[in-house]
Amino acid sequence: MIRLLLYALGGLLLGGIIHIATVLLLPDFANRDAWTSLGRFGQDGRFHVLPMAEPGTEALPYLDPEMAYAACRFSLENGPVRIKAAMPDDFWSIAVFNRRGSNVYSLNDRTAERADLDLVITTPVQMAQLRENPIAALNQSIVIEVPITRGFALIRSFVADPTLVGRTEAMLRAADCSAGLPTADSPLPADPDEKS
Amino acid sequence: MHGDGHLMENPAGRTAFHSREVLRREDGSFEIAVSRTPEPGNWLPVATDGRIRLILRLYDTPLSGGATIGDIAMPAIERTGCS
Repeated sequence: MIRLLLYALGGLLLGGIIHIATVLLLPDFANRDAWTSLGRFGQDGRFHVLPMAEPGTEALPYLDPEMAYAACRFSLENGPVRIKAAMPDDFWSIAVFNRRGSNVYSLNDRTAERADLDLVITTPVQMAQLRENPIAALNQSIVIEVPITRGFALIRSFVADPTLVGRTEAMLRAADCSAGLPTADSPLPADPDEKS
Repeated sequence: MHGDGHLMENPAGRTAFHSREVLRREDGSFEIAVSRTPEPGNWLPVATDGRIRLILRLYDTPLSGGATIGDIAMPAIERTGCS
């Protein structure tokens, strides 16, 4: 009798563990999340401009119809990711999300205090390596450390008027999600903008 | 917006207002009419008489910190009539 009770208790505990593990893992297997939806736009490592949100054809739910969006899925496994883009004068922001769609970093035109975007995303280990061997060519870049290895970057760009959609989308299409990262060993390229 | 986060279709093609295009009173305040029939001023047309979801988005605002949330006046939503 006691043995039967023990088996029942063991089964209950095992069931509970499996239940909790399943619930916690569920987001990684969900296929209707932002990560999977963005994967349909094309290959990783480059920006894809989302079509302007219009009733019935939105790429993702809860998009702002007044914003143009570009998204890029990236992986930090093969080194830091550098994002370069010329941005419009109006409001824009770039946000970095983890695989599950939670925001880990964001920057907008006012906090960037410049018109173009030059963002280097690193893991904590890559950040430590960059600190030890600083790359002079990245002096003007914004270098951030994120606790993720895979994620996506989302650029939002305000479109004040429908006539500006074309121009904004052209700028977003030109955004580079895998800009070259100069090596520490290479000689410093002559930068005409650099003030010493 | 529908409850599932998708925009609502409407014949006028107007799904949103932003701060630079909304018509304001002299003191800077504004009023947006949400209705099926055309209204003067800012009119956000809806094609349904069912449930709708209104979303206010604030970009680049210090409010997102949450510390001063008690001091801000959110827009009021009033039912002005039944059609």
